[in-house]
Amino acid sequence: MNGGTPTDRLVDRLLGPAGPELSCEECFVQLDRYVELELAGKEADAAVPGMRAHLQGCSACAEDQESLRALLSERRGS
Amino acid sequence: MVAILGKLDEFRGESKFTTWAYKFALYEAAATIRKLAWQGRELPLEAEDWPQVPNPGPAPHGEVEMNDLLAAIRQEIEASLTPRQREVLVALALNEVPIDVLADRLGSTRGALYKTLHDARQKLRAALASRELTIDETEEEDR
Repeated sequence: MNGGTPTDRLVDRLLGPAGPELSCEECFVQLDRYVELELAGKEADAAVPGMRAHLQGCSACAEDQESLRALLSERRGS
Repeated sequence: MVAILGKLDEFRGESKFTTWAYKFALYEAAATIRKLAWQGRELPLEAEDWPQVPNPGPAPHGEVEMNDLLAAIRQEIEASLTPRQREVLVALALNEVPIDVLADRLGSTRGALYKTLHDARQKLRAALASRELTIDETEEEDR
């Protein structure tokens, strides 16, 4: 949902994800489990329904997810 | 560290303890950085930054449709949303104010503001659907 022209991205931000999504609070509770599943190559989106949609709609939670993923990846590599 | 210790009874063992602890630290650090970056800046809460829609003329088919959709969204923001929904949607989605920063200034929380944003988006989607103006979901997934 983050590609396309600036107009596409603006429309994405204005309308948000189409499907059901978690709240920010639910996202935070599930974030550690979700990122571990992602890094283990497991079906994180199936295990935590609504997480992917929320990360598409909430840039702050998406940033937290990317940071946690990057930190864990780096520590695994070190 | 103190904040994490205060949350220990919420650790459910569904991830490694270190992963669980990191998420608190990263959450706090990111929110602090966003707030520092906006410290002393006036928040743009009004819709001042709408992109210029090109003049009528030859344009790719998809671009025309997207401009029509954007124009309809602008109308529905005025017609369908409450003042609070409009304020939150414009600040977060149009002006890209970080949600933690807006929450601080409005005396709210990230979760409460996202709920308002979510409700506003749902209203806009419903209003666009009643005009038979929707994003093609397949196209949306591709973007």
